Amino acid sequence: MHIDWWTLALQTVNVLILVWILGRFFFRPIMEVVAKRQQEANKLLEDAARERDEAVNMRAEADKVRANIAARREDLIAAARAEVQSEKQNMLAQTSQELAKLRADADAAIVRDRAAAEAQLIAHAGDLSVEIARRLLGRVPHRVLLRTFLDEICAEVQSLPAEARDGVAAAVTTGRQVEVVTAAPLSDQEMQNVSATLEKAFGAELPLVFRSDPAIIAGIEVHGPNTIIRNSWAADLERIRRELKA
Amino acid sequence: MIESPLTLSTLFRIGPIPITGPVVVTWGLMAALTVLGLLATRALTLSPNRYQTVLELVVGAIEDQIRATMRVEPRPYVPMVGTLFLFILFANWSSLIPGVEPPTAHIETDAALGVIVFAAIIYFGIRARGVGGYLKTFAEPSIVMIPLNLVETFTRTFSLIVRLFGNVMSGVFIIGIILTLAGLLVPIPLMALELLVGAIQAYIFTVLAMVFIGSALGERRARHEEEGRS
Repeated sequence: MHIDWWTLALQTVNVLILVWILGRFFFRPIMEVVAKRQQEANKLLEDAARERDEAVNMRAEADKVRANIAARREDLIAAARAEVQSEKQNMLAQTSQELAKLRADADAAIVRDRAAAEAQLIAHAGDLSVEIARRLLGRVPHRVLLRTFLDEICAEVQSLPAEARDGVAAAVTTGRQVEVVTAAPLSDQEMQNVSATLEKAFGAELPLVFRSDPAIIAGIEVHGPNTIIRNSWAADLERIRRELKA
Repeated sequence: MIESPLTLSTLFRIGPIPITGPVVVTWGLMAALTVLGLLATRALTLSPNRYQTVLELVVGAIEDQIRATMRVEPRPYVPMVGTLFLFILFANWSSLIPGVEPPTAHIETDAALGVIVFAAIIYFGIRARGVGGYLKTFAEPSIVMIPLNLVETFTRTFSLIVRLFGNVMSGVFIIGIILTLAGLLVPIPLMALELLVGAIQAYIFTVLAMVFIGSALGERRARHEEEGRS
């Protein structure tokens, strides 16, 4: 068997060249594109893993924020309830105070109105009684009334202390006048009769001056320098009114 | 085919260099493989189409085979191993073309492949372990084994050459004889069988080359690259 060494050498060179050619233009490009795709896939996987981690972290953050919101909501609700309760208590207290004040004011107003009504009623009753008395007295003869009141005032003069009675009687010496007030003007006869009766009661001569005043309704009054002796229905009504008010 | 496949006839000369049939067929195979390689890789994209997927499947299968056999990162060895497989496969199958004699049916081509594998064993062994480390492998498992290891280094390469040469040459020889004795269509089943034998022989040659290169890299290198890969 013969070996052609030239052929062996050429075939060796040929195969080595083919190794280089295929390695350079066939195997390397394919391996590079596979490796590049693998890198891309790894990068995608890494990106996906990173994004998944970020999503997990974001979800954890969201859960935390949600928990905080829930806790804050509970706190706000509790605070709002407490505030509403406090406000309710304040409003109730304020309303109670206002009601008590209104009630007190109403009571005072009622008392005041009642007192005013009573006073008005008393005044009205007084006026009514005066009017009734005046009308009734209109049926009694004037001289009878004058005689009656004159006798009563004389009795009252007699019951005065001596100093008061003397004070009136001393009006002559002091130059002052003693005024006799009647409800209706007196005639001269009646004036003389009244003068004589009063001078007898005081036991002295008196400088009398007569004056009529319908306000005393009925009766006779003696106004001295320091003493006033009343025997009139106006004085009686005034006394009765004061007693009723008391 | 009426002449012996063991003889070579010079087709022409380039200066003093005689150009024989296997060399011309090898040039044709080189040109075809180069053109096919360029066409196949001219439009590679990250989103592969059907053809690119097939190409990546082939290269991926070669890588997986290297990884499984040599237990190293396959990328530096793919051009060498892949080219050996493709060249032997296409060389064996070139017998289907009428008038073409496969280069691997001649001992010179197989010897050239064996020389390349022999050189590759030494080159990758020294690159992985250094000169001293590579020479120490001849004293494993003991110094007594040095003569046997030295002999084995040559004999295993020689067996590689002879195995490929014997199988392919015998197939071509048998088909030639049958074609001479029988009719036109009789050798077809044998040609189909020869296709299978050609593929198997290409696979066996490549796997044995990977085993020899891997053994030169050593366990330490293999373990290191395995950890680096993982």
